Amino acid sequence: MISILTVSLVPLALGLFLFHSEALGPNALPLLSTYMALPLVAALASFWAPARLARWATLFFASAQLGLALKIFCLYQTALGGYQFTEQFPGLEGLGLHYALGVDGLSAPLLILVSAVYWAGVLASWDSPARPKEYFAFFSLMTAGAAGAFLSLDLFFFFLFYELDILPMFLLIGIWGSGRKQYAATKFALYLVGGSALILVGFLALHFASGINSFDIRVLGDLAQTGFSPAFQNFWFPVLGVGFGVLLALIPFHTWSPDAYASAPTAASMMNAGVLKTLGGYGLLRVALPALPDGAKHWLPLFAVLAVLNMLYASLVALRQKDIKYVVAYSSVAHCGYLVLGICTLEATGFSGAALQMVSQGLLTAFAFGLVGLIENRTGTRQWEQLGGLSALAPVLGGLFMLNTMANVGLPGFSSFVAEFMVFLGAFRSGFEGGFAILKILFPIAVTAIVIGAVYYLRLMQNVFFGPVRRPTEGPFVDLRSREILPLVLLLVLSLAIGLYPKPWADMVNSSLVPLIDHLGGFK
Amino acid sequence: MIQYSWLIPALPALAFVLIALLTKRSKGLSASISIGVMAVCLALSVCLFLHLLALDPAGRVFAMNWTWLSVPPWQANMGVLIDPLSVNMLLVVTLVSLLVQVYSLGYLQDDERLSTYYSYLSLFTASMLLLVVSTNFLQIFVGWELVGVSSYLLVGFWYFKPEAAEAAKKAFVVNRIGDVGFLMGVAAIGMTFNNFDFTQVEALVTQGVAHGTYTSGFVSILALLLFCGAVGKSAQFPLHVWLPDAMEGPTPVSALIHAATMVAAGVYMVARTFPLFSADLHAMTVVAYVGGFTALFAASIALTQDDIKRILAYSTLSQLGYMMLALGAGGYTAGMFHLTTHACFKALLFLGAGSVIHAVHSNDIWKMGALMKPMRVTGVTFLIAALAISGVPPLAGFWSKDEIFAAVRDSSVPGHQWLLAAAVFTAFLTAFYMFRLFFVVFLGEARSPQAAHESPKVMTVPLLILAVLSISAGWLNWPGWDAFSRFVYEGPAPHPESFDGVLALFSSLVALAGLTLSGLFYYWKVFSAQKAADRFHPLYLLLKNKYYVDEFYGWLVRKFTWGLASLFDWLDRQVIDGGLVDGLGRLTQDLGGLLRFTQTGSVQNYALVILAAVAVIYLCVSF
Amino acid sequence: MSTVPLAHFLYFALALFSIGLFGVLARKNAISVLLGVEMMLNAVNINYLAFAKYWNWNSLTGPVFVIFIIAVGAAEVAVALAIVISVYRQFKSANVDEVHALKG
Repeated sequence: MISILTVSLVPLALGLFLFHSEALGPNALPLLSTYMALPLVAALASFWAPARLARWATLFFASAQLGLALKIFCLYQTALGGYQFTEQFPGLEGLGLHYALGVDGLSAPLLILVSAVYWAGVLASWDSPARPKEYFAFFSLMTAGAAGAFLSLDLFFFFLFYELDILPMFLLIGIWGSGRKQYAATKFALYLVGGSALILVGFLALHFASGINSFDIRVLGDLAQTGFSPAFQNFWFPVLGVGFGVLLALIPFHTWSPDAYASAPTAASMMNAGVLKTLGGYGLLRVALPALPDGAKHWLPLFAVLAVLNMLYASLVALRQKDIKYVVAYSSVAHCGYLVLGICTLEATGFSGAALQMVSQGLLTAFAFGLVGLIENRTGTRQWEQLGGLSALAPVLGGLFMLNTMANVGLPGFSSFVAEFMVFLGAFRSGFEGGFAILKILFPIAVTAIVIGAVYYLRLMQNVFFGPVRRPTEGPFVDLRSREILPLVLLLVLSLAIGLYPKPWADMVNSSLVPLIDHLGGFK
Repeated sequence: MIQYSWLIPALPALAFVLIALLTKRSKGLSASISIGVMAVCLALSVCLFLHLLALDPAGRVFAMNWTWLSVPPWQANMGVLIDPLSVNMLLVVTLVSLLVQVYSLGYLQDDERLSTYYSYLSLFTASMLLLVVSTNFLQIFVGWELVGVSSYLLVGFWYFKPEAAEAAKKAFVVNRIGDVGFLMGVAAIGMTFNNFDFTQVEALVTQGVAHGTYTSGFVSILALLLFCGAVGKSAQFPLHVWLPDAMEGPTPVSALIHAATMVAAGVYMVARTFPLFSADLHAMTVVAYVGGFTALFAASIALTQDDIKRILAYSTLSQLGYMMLALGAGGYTAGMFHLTTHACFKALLFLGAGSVIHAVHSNDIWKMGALMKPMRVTGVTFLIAALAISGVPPLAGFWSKDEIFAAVRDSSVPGHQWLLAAAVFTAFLTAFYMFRLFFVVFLGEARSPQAAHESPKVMTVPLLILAVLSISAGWLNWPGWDAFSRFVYEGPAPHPESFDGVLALFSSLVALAGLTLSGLFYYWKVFSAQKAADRFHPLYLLLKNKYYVDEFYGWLVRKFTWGLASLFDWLDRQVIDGGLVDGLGRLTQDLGGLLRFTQTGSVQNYALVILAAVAVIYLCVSF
Repeated sequence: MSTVPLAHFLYFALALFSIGLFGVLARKNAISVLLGVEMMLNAVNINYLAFAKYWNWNSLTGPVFVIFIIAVGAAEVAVALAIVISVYRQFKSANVDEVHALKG
């Protein structure tokens, strides 16, 4: 435990204070590229290090990356807004590519999410799985993909990093998974590659229609108002929307997600459900909406219907699941509904809610998958019908699961409350004050999700942790060790930080969302 | 003084964190932190109260705000609002909470999770106080949800009991149903007025209605959405089902949360946002009728129950109905006055019941009896509380109930005479079932298998304090003096309720009649309860089974929610996944299977195809 | 100097190509198929040279291509013969009809 703390805190401090500080002078490493490269370095390191050191190497770089994420978050100047710390590498201009990284108010909190889930995921897989070198290398690659996608200002690199996310996940499910892992892995890969095919085609359409041979997100966004004809936008928005919708597990493109999460190893579920899904919402806000505002106005009401369907349908399906991991998976599908609904309001409050929901659902879904992994680890089963009264055996596990329940139910104090509340506010405003009229109907329906969303989680809590003790195996039951608690605490603390005092976070995401709203030009 | 008022919710929150993270190992330390903090909060509240008293009545409102969240053009604050209404609630909450926490020391002395218990109690009190001092709709919603959680935790404190776990879940979910409306109301208010602040929204509403910007119908929709939350939290019909089940929690918890404070939050919220309700008679009428109906409905169920705590729970429902009725009838001070007195005597009743349960280890009143002799303090204080709730003069309940009757009589709600009749009949039923309880438990023959003994001092002293208050709290509104009303009422006009000698005489006669009839049945045994039950058997069954509301909801949930869930699950598995997704996979495979036949494996076939293709391309290109 | 007209070269190359093509398509023996491929390559070579001669003898593009094709053809034959030998070892036959492990 002490060594884990050392290996975490030292690089964390390094990342926070040393990297890119003025002390290193003007030749210091570029901040964002370093941030993005750290998981790649971790992947190489764990591949080349001796097997028993793979996890330590990964933990080292993960902690350093977490430090950097915090540093970027703290240094980001909300008052200025816009892209900061931008980096360019001009060597690829001839190909129309534009290696450019930048961070803005929308992505800065997401970097914390990526790094926190990365770090937590490494610790969650501490009891090394078979072939630890490959395992940790793939896990790091996934993280690098997510980090790169959040930072890229160029559609080509956005897409490249996004694809980098999918392949390692496929292998993680297929090799280290459980249950019907091959089915799940194939389904996952086919679905997401199918989604990314749509995204790719959409990107290419933007690229060629722009007429300036550019993949630069900023340029394409600026073009949108004048550049793309409404017919073009109306045609291409659903292509991009469905492409990102697959990633967001938007109904009816969601069935990959429960199977994938249920089969994947814990850390992969955490990373995928927590971060990769978020990328879908990020893509909508970052690319699809700015580039195709008229298309968005045309199609978002339909997406709003799907979003509300997500919230209710997935919650009801979750009610029928017998496998805890499936319950959590469907819950994550349901929470993505809030995210999409927030985007569909096309309104500042709703957007902020959606942006906070990205971070919140990422943290909390990762938290939930981490806990389910521990339950499975202790009891040897994920079927809640075989379990009961675990609180009596493991008060800490019970307490953490209670917090998890509360957080997922969306109680004040947790980030989920703030995010979901803002989504509702946005939905109301959009529906009743001149936005999408359909939200007038959807708003009350959506709000009922706070009941249905509570039922299945409370039921799970009651069945697994309350009542008389029931479990499939006898023998001693060890409550959580501090090493197992540590990653969960990090995720929880971040969620609480947002939930207890959301203003700085909301201000930060607003600094990029308010210009976006201005850019979209309000409702027409 | 006022600038420190934020400490009142902050200190218990701090106590919760301290106990949960640091002092869990030491029961004594945890309990002392919690109780000590509560004593400080009570002292602070008393100071605030005295401070306000010393001020001119017009200038008794203070508010502090900190920005908590903002997306231009709106912003939401967390703040502290100190005015007579909130100070009144602060006093009630901190006092009852302190007494209950002290009492719990005796009641739960053997429980090994005492530290957890105190941390939950601190969390509850912090949330409740946050709710009470809130300056705006968002904050009250936050506090609202947090008291819901603490209630969930405390009802399910003995989580290993399946009934407790089930009750906790039920309480949470039913409350959430009410919260759907509340949340919609808060969202609608915040987004319509770009403001969450009570005073500002109320000013905007008043102006808007005056200028015709908003119709009073719109305002009453807002009010009724908020009222949905109050129906859930204050357990009004049709969302009352959770409260009786919540009695599975430890008894002191029932006294604090499910009698004196949290369930009164709905009433408090309606009082707090009263200008929204009073803007339109429709909203007021709904509030009055829901309250009046719940009062009568719950009182009739209480007649037949056997579990001491459930009887008290139904009595709480009925009394909360009174408060809602008072508010709906326009009796703002009457509702708040009854809330205050009710907190004293209902907490006393629950703590007394706890003392009895502690002694005989059962909740069934038919396993108790003749407890007056061994448990003199409990018995006497229980009697005082029973007299108070029945409305026997000159105890607290008499005064507050009488104000409610007066308010209903003078109300402009259509059909208010029927509401008055229902309220008076409820008073009769109240006296009857309370004294049924008292006669069976404390008098008559002993039925308990073991010898009962009086509870320790740590439990009886809170009973005595509450007993004194149950007697005297009503005197605050002594006719002519009206100290309570003058303190709490903020509006420009003098409060409308006035003491009415005739009505008071009539209502005390009704109460005495109920009491006497109950004595004829259960003490003197002139009439037989058994025979009466047989005579009116269908009615008896209906009441005994609580009008089958639970069964109906159960049926609804099974048929509707569960059915829908099953349907969606089937849809997900068979149609979307099995049909569309796997179907697409199969389609691809089958297509591949068809194309397979072109792959003969013979190189020369391929070469021939290539040749043919070249020829075709050539032809295409050249012509 | 009497010159052979271009068309004659082209007829010859066409004949050679067609014979080679027939060999590739119709012969069963892998070696014969290979011979056919070689004949087709050489037909192409003749075309290159003929065009080069009649078009622009100063440009070396045609002859250089021919040299390339001869070199690549030699390499191809070497690889192909190696494959044929291993196929023969595997299947005890050099008959291309019998080697259809790729059949779907």
